[in-house]
Amino acid sequence: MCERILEVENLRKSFRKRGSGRWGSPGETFAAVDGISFYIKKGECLGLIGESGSGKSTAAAMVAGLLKPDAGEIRFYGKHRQMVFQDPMRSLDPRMQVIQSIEEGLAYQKSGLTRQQIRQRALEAMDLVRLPRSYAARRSRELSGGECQRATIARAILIRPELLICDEVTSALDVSVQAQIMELLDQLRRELGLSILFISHDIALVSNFCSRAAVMYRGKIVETGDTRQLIRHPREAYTRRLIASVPGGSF
Amino acid sequence: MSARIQFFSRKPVTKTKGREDRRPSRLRLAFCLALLLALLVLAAAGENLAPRDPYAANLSQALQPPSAEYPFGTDNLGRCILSRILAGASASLFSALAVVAVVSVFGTAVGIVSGYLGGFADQVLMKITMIFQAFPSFILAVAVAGMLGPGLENAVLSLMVMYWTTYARLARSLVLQLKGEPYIQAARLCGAGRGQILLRHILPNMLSSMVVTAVSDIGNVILSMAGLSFLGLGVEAPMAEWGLMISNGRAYLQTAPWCILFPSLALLGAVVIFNLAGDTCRDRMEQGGGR
Repeated sequence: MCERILEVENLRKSFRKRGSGRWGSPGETFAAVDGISFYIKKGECLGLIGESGSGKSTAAAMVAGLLKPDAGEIRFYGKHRQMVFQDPMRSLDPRMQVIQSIEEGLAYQKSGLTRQQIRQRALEAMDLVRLPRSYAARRSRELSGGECQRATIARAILIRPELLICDEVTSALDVSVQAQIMELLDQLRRELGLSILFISHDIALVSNFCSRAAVMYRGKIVETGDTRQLIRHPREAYTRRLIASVPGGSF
Repeated sequence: MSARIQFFSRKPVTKTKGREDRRPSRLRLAFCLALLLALLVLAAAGENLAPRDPYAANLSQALQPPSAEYPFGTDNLGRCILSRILAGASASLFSALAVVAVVSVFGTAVGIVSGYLGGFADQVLMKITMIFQAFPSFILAVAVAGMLGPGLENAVLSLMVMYWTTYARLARSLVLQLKGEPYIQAARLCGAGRGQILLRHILPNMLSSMVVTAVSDIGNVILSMAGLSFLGLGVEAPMAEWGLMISNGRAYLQTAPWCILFPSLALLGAVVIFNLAGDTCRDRMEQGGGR
């Protein structure tokens, strides 16, 4: 179980500050992700915790391949990686039927499958995420947030990725639905052997769900380790503050 | 979700869909369509419906008030105004439709290229658009029409020059907005190419806004067309066209107000119908489209 599915080394990404750098000058930049390194083992769920603006989502986008890093290396030892986004409603095209959106997971690939086969896979994926098949012809606005998120997860797992990047997937959902989605992700991780990069600002959620976690602060990873260790014996001041900020005070 | 909607809606949600249907009623839609259709049929068949020859001058009957014989009266050359309005409908309406059709397609194409490619192409295209927008739009149309000389084709061309920028800018902003949507990112992750994203996601999602803008614009274009003709930059003299008829009637405003009244009413009616169609179209599409 020690085999690694993803290794990230010294990853950097800077953005130009808004309103600077006009007229050909290079402008001021700030480093959203400032040289982070981490790895994910096969079948493992790594939590990436941090406040808004700490660079979590930028890191996620780079790992997913949506953003080009300025520097650093991402070594992915699998074939496919997929991502689930924060806003479930906006993750599905409002003009498409849910099933069409799910089919997109395979539709653009040279998989050699016919359209019927892809449709069949999409329906099976709906079963897997426990989305009733009767929802297939609906549009995203006729679904609740949790149901939309189930559909996006179905789309993401359709191609059977080895790595799933979850960027704040529960932030837009209410607490009871949150729990269901987390349970679903955990089940998929076990059944499909998925590795998950779970990005969240909610340390309580991460502690329940991930075996290891990394804490990000201002573009850097300040602490990594076993989640329980991290919470019981935080080494960094920032981690302590993050733990202290959890409502209720303790775990 | 459904509870929240119930809270905000005026009447309780009864449909299983879980959201209130606030789209325009079928009746309003049918009414609009019927008006639009009537107007278009009138414009297409105008000359054949005219009770008299719209071009036959009869000076002994000049400036007659409305009567059984001439329902809308006659103009300074003794031509039947009703017949001229009917004959002029096609020039006014179809040229406006042609302008909107060409301009919306062309402008949208420019906007999509600009917004989707970004970078250098975007800079160049948007600078060109800005140059066109730097002039007050109608002045630009007047200038272009003045350079090209009078004539229906030239008027149509100058209106195209005047109107395309709106579509380019709107399309560009829509593309930029849609490009950031998570479902586009998701499609990219699924391996969709630029063309596939454009065809499957961006175009369908921007279509309703573009169509609504186009339909709402028809009324404006009709008015601009009439404005050009009024200034003598549109169609040429003997041809029946509403703007030109209003312009001719100006001299007789005091003595024969019907010369100006009826063409103006025709213009008003057409613009109102197209604007109504535009509004209905907007209500329907906006409710039916996005969330």
